[in-house]
Formats: sequence, C-alpha cells, structure tokens
Amino acid sequence: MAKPIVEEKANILFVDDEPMILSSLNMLFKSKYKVYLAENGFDALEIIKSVPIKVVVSDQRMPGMLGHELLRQVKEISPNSVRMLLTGYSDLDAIIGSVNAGEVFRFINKPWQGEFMLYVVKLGVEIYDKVTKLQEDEMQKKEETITEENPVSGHRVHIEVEEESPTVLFVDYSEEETGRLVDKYGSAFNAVAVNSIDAAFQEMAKKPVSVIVSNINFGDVDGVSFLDTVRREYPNTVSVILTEVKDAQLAIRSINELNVFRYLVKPMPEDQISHTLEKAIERSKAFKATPHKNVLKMAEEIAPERLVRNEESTLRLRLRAAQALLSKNKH
Amino acid sequence: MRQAIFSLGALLMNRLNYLQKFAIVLVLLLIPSGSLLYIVATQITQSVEYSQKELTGISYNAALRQFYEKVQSHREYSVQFFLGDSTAEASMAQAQQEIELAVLRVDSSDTQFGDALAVREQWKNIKIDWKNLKSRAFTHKIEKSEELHNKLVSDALALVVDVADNSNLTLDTDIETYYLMNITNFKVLQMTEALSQSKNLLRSIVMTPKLTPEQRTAFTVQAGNIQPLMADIADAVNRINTYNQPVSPIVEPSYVDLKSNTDQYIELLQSEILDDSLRTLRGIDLNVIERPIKAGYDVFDVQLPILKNLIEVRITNLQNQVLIYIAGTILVLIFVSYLLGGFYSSVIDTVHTLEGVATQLNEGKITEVVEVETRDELGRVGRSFNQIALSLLSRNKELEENRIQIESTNRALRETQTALVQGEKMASLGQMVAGLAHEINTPLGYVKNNIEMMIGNQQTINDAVEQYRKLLDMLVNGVEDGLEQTVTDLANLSTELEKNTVLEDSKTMLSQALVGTERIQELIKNLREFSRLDEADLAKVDLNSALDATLVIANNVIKNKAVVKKDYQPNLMAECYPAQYNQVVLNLLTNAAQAIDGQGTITIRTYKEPGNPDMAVVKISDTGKGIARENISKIFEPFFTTKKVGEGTGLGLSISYKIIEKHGGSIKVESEVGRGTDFFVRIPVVQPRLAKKESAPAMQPSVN
Repeated sequence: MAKPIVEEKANILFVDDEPMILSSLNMLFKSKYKVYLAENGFDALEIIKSVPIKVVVSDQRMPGMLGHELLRQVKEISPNSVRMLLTGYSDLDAIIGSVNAGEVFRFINKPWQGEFMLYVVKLGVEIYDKVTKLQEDEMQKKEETITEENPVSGHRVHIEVEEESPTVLFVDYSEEETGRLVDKYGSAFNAVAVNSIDAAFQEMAKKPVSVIVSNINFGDVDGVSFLDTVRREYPNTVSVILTEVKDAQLAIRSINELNVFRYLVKPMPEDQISHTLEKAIERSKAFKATPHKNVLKMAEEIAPERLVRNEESTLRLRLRAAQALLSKNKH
Repeated sequence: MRQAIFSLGALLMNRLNYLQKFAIVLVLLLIPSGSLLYIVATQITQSVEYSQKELTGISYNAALRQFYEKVQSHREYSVQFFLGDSTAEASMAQAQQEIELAVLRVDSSDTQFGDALAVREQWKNIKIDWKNLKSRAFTHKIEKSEELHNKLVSDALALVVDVADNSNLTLDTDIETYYLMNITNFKVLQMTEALSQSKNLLRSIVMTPKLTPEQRTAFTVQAGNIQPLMADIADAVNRINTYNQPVSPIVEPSYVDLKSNTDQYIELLQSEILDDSLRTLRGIDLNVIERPIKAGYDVFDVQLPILKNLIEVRITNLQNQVLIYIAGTILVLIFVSYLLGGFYSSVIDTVHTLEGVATQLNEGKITEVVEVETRDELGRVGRSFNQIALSLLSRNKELEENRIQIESTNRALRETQTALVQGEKMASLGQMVAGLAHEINTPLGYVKNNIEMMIGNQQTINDAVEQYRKLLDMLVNGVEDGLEQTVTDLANLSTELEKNTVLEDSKTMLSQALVGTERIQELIKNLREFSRLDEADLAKVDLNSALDATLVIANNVIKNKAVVKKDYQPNLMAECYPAQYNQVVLNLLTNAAQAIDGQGTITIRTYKEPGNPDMAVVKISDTGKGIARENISKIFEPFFTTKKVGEGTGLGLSISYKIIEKHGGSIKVESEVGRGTDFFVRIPVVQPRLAKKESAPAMQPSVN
C-alpha cells in the first residue's frame, strides 16, 4: 500500500445490453478502477466523449448499435483507448467487422475467466498509459528538435533501407490470381508473389516488406503461426489475411495473437483490396515512424511472457535458415 | 384440266380401297372381253354348223347319185327287155338289186340328215314311185315304163338339187360352190341323163332298118340338149379355174376326159345324122356313148371328196380358231390379271410398308426405315415419307439425347438442390446455434463471474470470521495480551468489508447468479419448445407459445434491430408439425430483422381468419425497407435473393412456402418500399386426417 490513496483510478468502460453482465463486471473491477457502465452504444459514446476512458469492453450484439460499430467510433473519438470485444457467440461477420472496422485489441468470449479479464484490462490500461506517454514525449521532442529518428528500442533491429516504392509480398496464391494482383497494383508499389513459406522468408530477408498479404490455409503449417513469426521478426510489417477460409477460431487468433490489420474474405472486390493495401502501407510507415502505434508490440513490451508454440519455434528456425542462406550468398 | 375431267372418277375411286379399285378394273375388263369371245365363238360355231350341214349334203348326194345311176341302168335294161332281149331280164333283176342297195344307202343318209335337209317327204315319194315301178317292171308298156323311169330320174335330180340347196352347198361363198355344184351335181347329172336317153334311143335305132324322121328329130334334140349342157359345163369350169384355184387342178382332168368323150360322141352323132346313113351307128360300139356317161360320174365322184375334204379342213380350221381365240383371250386375261395383281401387290406392299413405318413412328418404336422398292409416283411418295421418317428419326434421336441430357441435368440439379436445401438447413441451424449460444453465454458470463468473485469474497468473510473467533477466545479465556491489536484489526477488516461492500455484493452476486441460471433454464425450455425434436409428428400447438419460443431463438438477430410488439389472440391452437412451423416463423422473423436498416419494429399478430374460423393466421410485420414491386412475385422462387452472394441461399422462403403449402395453408405477402412488409401465414386449425398418415413433409423446394 505504498501508493497514496489519492492516486486516481483508471477509467474503464463496459458496454452491454444485459444489466446483470454490467453489474457482475462492475463488482469485479470497481475496487481497482473507476468503472463506467453503459447499456447501449449511444450512452457509451456520450461517456467516451466526456471522460478519458483507457479501456473499452463492449458486447457485440446490442440493440441500436453493434459492438464493432461502437468501437469504430471510439477509435475515431479516442484513438488511444484500448478496445476489446466481449461477445456471447463469435460469428465470423462480427469478428471480421471488429478487426476491419474497430481494429480491436482483444476478442473475448463469454463466459470469461475472471483472472484473464483482470489481466487484459490491466494490460490495456498500461498500453494506454505507455502510448500516451510516448506520444507526449514525441510531441515534446518534435517541439524541441526534428532531427533524430527514434529507433525501435530493446529489440534486434535490421538495417531497413527506406525505399521509394514499398514492397507488398503475396504469399500462396494461384499464379493467375497473383498475376492479376501484380498487374493491378504493380505500378503503385513493388508487388512480389511467392508460393511457399520458405520463399516468403527468403524474400523478407532480402529486403524490407511493408505489407504481407497471405493466405491462411497452408498445407503443413498454420497461417496464423506463420504470420506471427513474421511479425515478431519484422514488427513493422503489416499483415493482411486474404482468404476464402471462413473460420471464426482462426480469425479470433489472428486478432488476439497477431493483431492482424485486416481479415479479408474472398471474393473481395479488387478496388477494396487496393484500398486496404494503401491503408496497410500507410500503417507500416506509421509503425516505422512512431512505434507506439504498434499496439501489440507495446503489449509485448509490457508483458513479454508468452507461451511459444512448438510450431512457431520450428518456423523461427526456418526463418533463421533463410536469413543465413542469404547472408552466405552475400559473402 | 386433268382434275376437272377426272373429278367424278376420282370421287368414286377415293371411296374405294385398293382391292376394290382393282376388282372394278378387272371386272370391267373381263365382261367385254368375255362377251366378245362369246360372240366370236358363237359365230365360228355357226360357221362350223353351216359347214357340217354341207357335209351332210355331200353324204346324202353321194348316196343319191348311186340310186340315180342305177335307175338309169334299170331303164336301159327294161328298154332292152321290151325290145325283146331276153337276157335283159336278168340284168334288170341285177339292177333292181343294186337300186335296192342304193335305196338302203340313201335311207341311211335320210335317217341321219333327212330332217335337217327337209327332204324326207321327197325321198319317201321317190321310194313309193320306185316301188310302183318295180312291182310292174315287166308288165308295163314300154312307153309307161319309160315315163315312170324318166320321172324317177328327174325327181331324184330335183332331190339332189334340193339337198344341195338345203345343205348350203350351192351357195357357199367361201369356196364358190355355186359353179362347182352347178357342174358336178346338176349339169353333169343332166348330162348323164341326156347321154343315157341318147343311148336308149341308139339301142332302138339298132333294132330298126332305117332312121325314121321321128328318130332323126329325137337325135337332133338329144344333140341339141347335150351341146348347151357341155357349153355350160365348160363355162362353169372356166369360172372354177378362175375363182376356185385349189379345186381346179383336181376337177380339170376329169372334166377334160368328159369333154373329149362327149365331143367325140356329139361329132359322131352329128355326122351320122347329117349323112343319114346310119352305117356307123348300126355297128356302133355302145362304149362310145358309155364313156362320156362314165366320165360324167367320174367328175361327180372326184369332186365330192375334194369338196368334202375342203369343208372338213375348214371346220377343223374354224374349230382351231375358236380354241385359239379362247386360249388367247384367257392368256391375255391371265397376263393382265397378273400385272394388275402385281400392281396391286406393289401398291399394297408400299402402302403397308409406309403404314408400318407410320405406326412405328407413331408409337415411337422406329429404329430404321424400310426401303421402298417401287419406282413409280407412289414410290416417290414413299421415299419422301422415308425422308420424313428419317428426319423424324434423327430428330427423335436428338430429342432422346436432349431428354437424357435434361434428365442428367435434372438429376444434377436435384442433387445440387438437395445439397442446397441441406446447406440452408445447416445455415439456419448455425444461425439458431449462434443465437442460442449467445443467449446462453450471456447469463453464463455473469453467473460464472459472480461465482468466481463469490469464492474470493468467501475467503474475506472466512478471514473475518476467523478473527472474530480469535477475539471471542481471548475474551472467554481472559487473555489481554494482544487484545487491543486484534480489536483494531477487526475494526479495520470491518471497515474494509464495509467499504468494498463485500457482504452486500455477495448477496447481489448470488441472487443474480440464481436469476442467471433460471434464465438458462428458461432458454433450454424455449429451445425444446422451438425444436420440438420429440414431436416430429403432427401436434396441436399453441401458436402464441411457439412464437414466443422462436422469438427467444431469434432474439440475438432481432434485438439490435427491432422492438417486438405482440398482439396475440389468446389460446390460438392449431395442428401442425411444430419443428417445421417454427422454422418458417424463424425464417420470417430473421428476414424481418434483416430487412430493417437501423432501428425498427416487428409486430406479431395472431388471429383466426375473419369469416373463416378454421384458419389460424400469424401476421409478421416489419418496418423495414420493403420489397420492390418487381420482386414481390419472385420472393418464393427458389434461389431468389436480394442479399449479397454468400449471405443467403435464396431458399429460405421457398422452403417456408413449401412447408406451409403441405400444411394446407398459404403464405401471403404485402409490401411497400419504404413502409415495410407484412407476411401472413395461414394454416388450418385442424389438419386433414390424411396428412397424419404421411411422414413429416419433405422440405424440397419446387423448381419450375
């Protein structure tokens, strides 16, 4: 009890149309946080507008406004608020909506584990604090000097050369499909297509890749694990999943583990793909310029302990092999 | 032109079948040719009879000629007898016998032909005359005897003429017998008579010393008789030579013989009569006069067989002619009949072939056409027909192929349909599970959380109780050491409990957890109500409860879209297959929710149809975007959807339609763009008993 009692509790907001859920969550959190409760999206937005909320946890299906729509608006009003979805049933549309529109940090299923709930909310609050602090520091720095570039701290850093044309890597699509994509977007950016994970690793070892667009149903390995391996090695590479696989569990993992930028389900209009790619490139640039925008990376810095799957270790090895091969060739 | 001319014939022929047509043609051919043949045959037969009558005449006259000659001989002997020649009596008897023989022969002919030749009476008279003559042959005076003999001879000659006339011999134009008869039968016989009388005269002269003037006159008359006869004969022979070439070579020699002998006698007679000496005549060889007589009979005898032969040949020819006519006609008729038969057969064969092909075509059994062999117009028709049949055949084949293709397409379609219906089922099942999971996970969320928290709270409470017990022990045992500290701790703990509202919260947590479990229980009940898995059969259902149960299932779809208003007629019971009926209602409620952009209202009304209390109606209205006018007629069609690809199968409403149709009810829709949509689901309160026998209606959408 070293902290003085006067220290302000963090503001968190729960939104659910079921009052008993709110009541229950309130009882869980009220001792450590200042808990705000709202029974619908409109009330929630009113609260967000009036009070700085660090973490928003919303139900998906509510009368009047769906959860992911609420989170999308929250993102606009208060971009640093960490957004989470707490839902009774994860139908794919809701998940994809929450990724693509709300860019949620976590996707949590009801019924939840009390400890986990406490943990993620705590994590969310810390991310909020850190990001806000970095932002303030940056603002301060900008005011002082505009010369220094802020390197990503504490991690192995690859020498990334800024390129005129950012690279987009397509992994595991049919020749016809990539041919079409390359033809279409080749002028806007440097589009490269590979048809295996190892080829992708080699490609990424050669030069920095801004966006990786990947399928998710590889024969031997799980696509989420592949992209997670990539993300850990190259944190500034933004991942987009473009697939015909409609698997809610994979989608949830891609949010919670990967913080995937977009989850696109085929068939998808090509101009929408193009739009997404532009956004993703923008995001990649933002990651490089201001690392605190990389929420997942922040979370990992705050809570580095994490269970590493066997599969990911194997993938890591393959990635290293690709890098070694490349450096050998260079010599 | 042709059609105008033959229109009547065509009219008649069109009414007959081919057998009748050919029969008519054959009969029309047979009647005239048969009649013609009959006429010709009759004519020829008449000619034959005509000629046969001539033959009878020939036989008759051949017999009569013997009689004629013998009567002349008898006269000659009787003249000798009366002149005193006693040897003549035996000759007379001899001649009488010969005459009797001749009479028998003529009798024989008369018996055969007398009636036909109409000469019986004449012959009878001649026989009577002969009897009279014979009976007094030796007692008559010479003049009387001569007169009777002469009459008999002239009667016999008249009979010969009549026989020749009556038997057509005189006037057979074919062989110009007039002249022939004239010579042979009349002139030659007259000639022999004249010579015979001349001979008798000669015998009497021999008896007298000097030729008396009466005798001279008689001779002159005799010669005068003989000469014109001979001239007539010569003239007739000329004519025969001219007109009757075949006969002349045979007649000619005997004629030449007759002429020369006659000429010799006439010459002798004239010279004797002229010089009046009678020298030669007295010592004359009677053979001089005997020879022309004999030559005359020779002419007669030579001519008759020739004539007979000619007529016989002619008869044979005529008979052959009849045979040829008959045989020829029969052959022609047979040939014509044969051709007609062939014609008929070919027509009938072609017609039958075409008929067979047509029948097969008609029955759809045909596999190939039969070759038509005729090369006529009918054959052309047949070949055209065959072409039609062939093209039909190939078209049939195409149709058959199309049918097979359509069948396989249909099969594929059915399979796809089944898969789609199954997919739709799985989709609605997924939707239901999603809704239910959401509905259950929500209470489960706070029940679990509350219980977890209660466990923590329980620990705090347990700690407090422990402290109190410690304090109680101290107080009871009078321990004062540490008492103050314990009291302070307890006070702090109590303040903490108070401040964190642990006890108050615990009560709330527990009561809310209870509410949560009750809600879960209620949900499970509704799920059973909705799915009615244990009631696949027809059941009497409270439609209001069914609707409420379905609303719970659909809650997660509806609640973020619409407020539900209910206007139920109480106790509205109806027989239905509950699981299927609820599926329809769920489908309509889901559609209603999906039709609403933003927020709206769904109104559910239940009532019995006004004026028809046997129908229960559920009306589901939404305030959604409505259905465009052009789509209203299509919404119950399978695969019709306005949703994006992948969001709906387009089968929901068509399956609903089918289900309600099987219930004997109907779904009706009223909609207006911008206002919203009303669905009316009508089902009979009581299902026909029939339906109970069936299993649950299959949910196959109809594809038209």
